[in-house]
Amino acid sequence: MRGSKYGLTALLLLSVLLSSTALRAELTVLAWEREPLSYQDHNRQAQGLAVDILKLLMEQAGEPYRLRFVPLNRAIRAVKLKPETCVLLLERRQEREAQFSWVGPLLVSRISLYSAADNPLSFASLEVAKEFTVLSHMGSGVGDYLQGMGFTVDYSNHNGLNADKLARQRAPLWATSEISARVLSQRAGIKAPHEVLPFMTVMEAMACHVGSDRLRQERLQTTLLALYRTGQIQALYARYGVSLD
Amino acid sequence: MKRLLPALGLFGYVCASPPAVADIAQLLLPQLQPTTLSEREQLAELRWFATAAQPYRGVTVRVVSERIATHAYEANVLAPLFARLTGIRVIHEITGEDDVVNKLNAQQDTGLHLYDGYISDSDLIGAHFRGGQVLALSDYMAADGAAVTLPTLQLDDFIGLPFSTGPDGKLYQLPDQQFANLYWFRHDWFARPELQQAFKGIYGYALGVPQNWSAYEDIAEFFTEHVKKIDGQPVYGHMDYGAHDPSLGWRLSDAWLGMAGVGDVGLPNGLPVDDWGIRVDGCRPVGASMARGGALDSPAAVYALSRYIDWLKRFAPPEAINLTFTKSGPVASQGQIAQQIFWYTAFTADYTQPDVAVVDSRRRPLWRVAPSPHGSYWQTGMKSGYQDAGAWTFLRDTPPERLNAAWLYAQFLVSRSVSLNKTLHGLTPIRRSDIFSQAMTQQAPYLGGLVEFYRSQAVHAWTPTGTNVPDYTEMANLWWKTAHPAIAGRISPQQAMRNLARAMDRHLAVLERLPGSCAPRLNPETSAQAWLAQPGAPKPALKHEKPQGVTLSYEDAIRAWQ
Repeated sequence: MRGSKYGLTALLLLSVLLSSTALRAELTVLAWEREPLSYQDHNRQAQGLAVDILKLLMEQAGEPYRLRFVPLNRAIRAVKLKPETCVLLLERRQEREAQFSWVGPLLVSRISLYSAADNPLSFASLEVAKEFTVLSHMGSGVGDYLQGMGFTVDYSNHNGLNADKLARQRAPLWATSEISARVLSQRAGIKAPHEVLPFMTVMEAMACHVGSDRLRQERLQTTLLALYRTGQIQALYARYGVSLD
Repeated sequence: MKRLLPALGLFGYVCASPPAVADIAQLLLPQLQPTTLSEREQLAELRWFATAAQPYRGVTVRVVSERIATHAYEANVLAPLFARLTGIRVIHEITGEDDVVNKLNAQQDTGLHLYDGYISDSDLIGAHFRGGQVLALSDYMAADGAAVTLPTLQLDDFIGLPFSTGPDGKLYQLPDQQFANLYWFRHDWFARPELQQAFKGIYGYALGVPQNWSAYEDIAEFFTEHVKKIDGQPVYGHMDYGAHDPSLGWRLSDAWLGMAGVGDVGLPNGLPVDDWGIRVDGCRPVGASMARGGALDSPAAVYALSRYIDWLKRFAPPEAINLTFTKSGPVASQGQIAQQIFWYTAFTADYTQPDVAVVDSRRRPLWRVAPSPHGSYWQTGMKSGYQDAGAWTFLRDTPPERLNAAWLYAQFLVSRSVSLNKTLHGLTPIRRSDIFSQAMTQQAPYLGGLVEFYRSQAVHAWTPTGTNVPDYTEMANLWWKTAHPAIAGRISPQQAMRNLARAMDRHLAVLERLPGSCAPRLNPETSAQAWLAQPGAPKPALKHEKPQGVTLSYEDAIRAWQ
């Protein structure tokens, strides 16, 4: 990871020399339904910002891979058991650090509390918002974070349900990223929600089996950082209307 | 706190013009008491912030810090006050320490603009001054940041400035909170006559504050294997943690090796071999393994890891081996632990809450802190413990407007207008003026020895990771990854330390490409025996690693701090 600072070019050249797709086993990447980041359209084609970033990364690194969609918990279980398998995406948290071999950050998201468009709440800090129930979804590290701080969190099966729940006032607040709030509200046919309080930046990564091929992991990491340095990943973000500022 | 915040919500973040002096006095002064400033001085300082921030009104800055009481107070109380005062909105994120470091690295590695400021441990100073990406605050304050640098900042009032200053004399980080690693014990249990008598009967000397690891081990054994229960509750003579997690590395690199006596005499970290077992030539790290003159695989290092594992398995609660730093932190406050060899004072606020089991009905702690005992290889003149400062860190490529606004927020949090009030909430003091304040004198009986420690001369012998560690993030990862197999019993402590020393050497070799005259340059591999035969570290194995235990009364142990 630190190689980017101390010899990115050399490592990149090395990675190109080492990459020979014909000789390497295909990597299995397990994604989970998480529109608009990773999902399957009506034709069962993989779509979303994270899917596009993965595609760019693998192409640049010359790595063959197979993308499948499975529920998150199944994906995590599979990655813990099977070498050359990865989850797209998982929040890189300290308690998970030792369980996986990581390639990231693959996606950086700004998380805010949102209220319904016709209920524009305002808080000066998270502490004040604690008395309100917050919508989140299963598998969300953000929901766990808020629960750990003493919030009451209402977990939906998937984030797509929360736009409607917010609009119907099942809870006054929804913790999610800007892109998810915007796209999922649009899908649900409701007005874009009101941003109440930005409070967290989440870095998610591709979490691979802990015994994954070390050279491949290094090659993917080096390639990923090069894609950031050349602005190609930021260009993908922009295509989805995402800015980190 | 709860009374104030809804009111702030009504006022909103941004005012059209700077608040009048009367507004500041009315709205902020009551929330920022006590202070070591006079009312006139405090008003003047707050007015300066309002005026200096005028070009940045409406700007939003994003900062991140670890999850401790001090930062929670900053994020929930002080950030909204600052917004009210200056019109600068602050998103102050709180997360795990590991996540803070990962984000700082990610911003440096990817070029993404994630945060305008980080509160990150000064352990990273060795990377900051070598890497060229972290802003040298001393340069900034004298030039581009002069107009937004608080005239009454009083840098010489900060106790932790040496931690965040590079060998080049430049200040890279500004301390925001500071904590030390001390010995912690149940003063009330140690004072019980029946326990004193029983201990003396078994071990032949008084139950008291252990001065060496032999005494610590005896006391641990006494409570876990002989006393077993107090007031009907199971008790343990030791507490630590051992989960396969990054925090395992911090425990070993912060404390165990340094206090075992792995390095050389000399402050802050030992010269020429430091408490990580890294040998340095000038400012250049030259090796960690004995074969290159380091001490990371030396007998003293193996002794440190062996004692850590042995005591964890024999004397700590059974669940301790599966706990992380965060999960193990509150355990001693639950009332079943007699002593803890390494205890972070950052937990003081949590351990003095009226509802915890280790505080009496008069709100006085049943515990005390004292100097940590020394291992057998430790010698007078070596560091006496670990201390660190969570410090403001800014990257050079931060947009100037955001940088200036974030710098104002940083200074607000450490200004004399705010710092005493903050210190009383978080108990992580950074300023000499706060430590010697009347308010801290009044609080001292309720803080278990924290104030006495910070008022002593001994505080200078507690130091953080030194500048010899050129890439803390990656090198800290090597500790937990290589040590855990020994904890799991898959390899011996000796093999683990050998693996660690080799891994460190390999990483130092990679870092030889760093720019500047302080980049590592490895010594050639020679015979470990040749280095062991020389004076200092690496030190040859002692014949007897467990000498007679020595204890002192609490009063005498504290006198050593005077």
